[in-house]
Amino acid sequence: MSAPNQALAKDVRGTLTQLSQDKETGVIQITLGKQDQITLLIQNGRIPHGYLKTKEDHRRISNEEWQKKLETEAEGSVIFDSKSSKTLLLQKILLEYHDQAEGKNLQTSQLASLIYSGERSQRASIQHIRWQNTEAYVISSGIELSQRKAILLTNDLMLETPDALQQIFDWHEPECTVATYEGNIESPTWLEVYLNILFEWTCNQILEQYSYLTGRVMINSVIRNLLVKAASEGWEITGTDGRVVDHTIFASPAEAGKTYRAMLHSIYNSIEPVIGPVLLFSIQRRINSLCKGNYLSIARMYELFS
Amino acid sequence: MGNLLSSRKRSITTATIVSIAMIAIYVWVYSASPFSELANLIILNGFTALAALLCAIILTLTVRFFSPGEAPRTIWLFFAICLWFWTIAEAYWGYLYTTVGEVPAFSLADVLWLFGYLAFTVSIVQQYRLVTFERKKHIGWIAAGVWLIVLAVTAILVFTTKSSTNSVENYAVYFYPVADTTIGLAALYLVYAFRGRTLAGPWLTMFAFTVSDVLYIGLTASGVYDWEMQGITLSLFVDTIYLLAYILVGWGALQQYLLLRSSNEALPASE
Repeated sequence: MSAPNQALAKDVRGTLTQLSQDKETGVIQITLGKQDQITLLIQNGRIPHGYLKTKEDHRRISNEEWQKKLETEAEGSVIFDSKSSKTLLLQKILLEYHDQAEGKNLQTSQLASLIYSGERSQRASIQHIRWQNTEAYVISSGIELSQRKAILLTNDLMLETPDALQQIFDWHEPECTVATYEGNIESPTWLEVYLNILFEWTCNQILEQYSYLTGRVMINSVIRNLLVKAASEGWEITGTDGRVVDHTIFASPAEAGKTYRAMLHSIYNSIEPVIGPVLLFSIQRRINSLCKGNYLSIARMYELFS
Repeated sequence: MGNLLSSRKRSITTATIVSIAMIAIYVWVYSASPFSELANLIILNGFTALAALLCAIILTLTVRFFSPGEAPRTIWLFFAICLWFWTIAEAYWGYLYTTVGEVPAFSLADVLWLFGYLAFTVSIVQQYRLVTFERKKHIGWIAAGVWLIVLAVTAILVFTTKSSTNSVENYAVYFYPVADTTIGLAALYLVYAFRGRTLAGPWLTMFAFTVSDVLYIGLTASGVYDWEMQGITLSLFVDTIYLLAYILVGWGALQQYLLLRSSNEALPASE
């Protein structure tokens, strides 16, 4: 969707109205004049965040600020790129930490060793891999949780399944560029990423322990209850193959923490009537003992295990 | 979801009607003997075997919700095997009682009941393993030790009780209440571990056999089993509790089956 325009503000408003009606998720790039650029993240037609890039500056801006900026510009173009919600969270890191992005040219065959070495790091990281027409993201939790997630985006395919990483390693283009973003728990956006990794890990640990006690079939009812609750609360989560994945973009880590706590309580409330409070506490205690370092501090800060 | 609830309600309503009907018919036939002697015996012994059979069927259906290799599958598989042994034992004992009249103190039925106890031990040991998250490594050995104690306690009871009957007969008589009490207490610990929540149900119902067998041995040992009060014998009370014990186990198994069935329904489509 591209529209060179005389009345840019009107055009952007029209695009946003359409995206809102269609509940689209993705990124809008608004090019202003020759160099300036506004990037808006859109999730289900809503705009959680906007960014401004000028010659001197690259920062997050409020809704009022970008609207005001648009009205002062006469010419420009607007492009919408559809993305998954998970990609949007990664995009947020890329936009906020663009200065960290030292693209390194690599052979695709070297990707595996690069990614596995990243997993031994203390900090979480995101690797943004680009080929000619394809890109991929690999999120590593760092050694404290040993979790990894990969997303492969081609022109006509978006793969977020567990085998996406293997597809990345086997990608047919021989050369790629890799930018590595190292996690910084002090940063609110990174804290959201840490919280996201921790939440999904916790959910999946709980479901694994619960399944160990009651059987895999029983996981379905827990996920079903969670999805019903999520639908009523407007949370963007999915539950397939017995695993919970959160796609929500939050305004702040505090909001993320509060929501994740509510989601976990929904899970605890489904489990407790079946196995009782003592065994639920045992599960929470076991998860607590498996969680380490920064993740444990975050879990305690947001009271996720109680 | 609505269909699921109504299906659950239907299953529970059906089970309630069947249970009440079985107990009512059993008590009526026991106390009024409305048919020929043979028909009455077939109905009375048949109902006990039928109740055990229903438990075995429900537990077998429950096993189908688990894939091979899943830890809880062992619990329900061996629970089902136990009930199949007991079903055949009840049927065989009923057949002997109906045809021969006097059942020997130790018969093939007792062997089947014993195999049932062994299967139930495997089931309960596995449940112990899971609720302790396998922290206690020697539960299997502890269970074997408990069975040795059960055998020893039974032997002590036989030798300390004056009786005219032979020791094998006495041993069989005392073994069941001691074994059932042991199993009942072990099951009660699981009820405690689950704090009375849904998964406690099937274990709680096993305690009914403890009550039934202890009452039986108590009343037969004191010679009041055949006492009659206002036309109702104590044996009717005790034997009905035995039938009730199977019905309660069936209820516990049914709750577990319905829980798994409702959970097995497809998840709503994710975005």
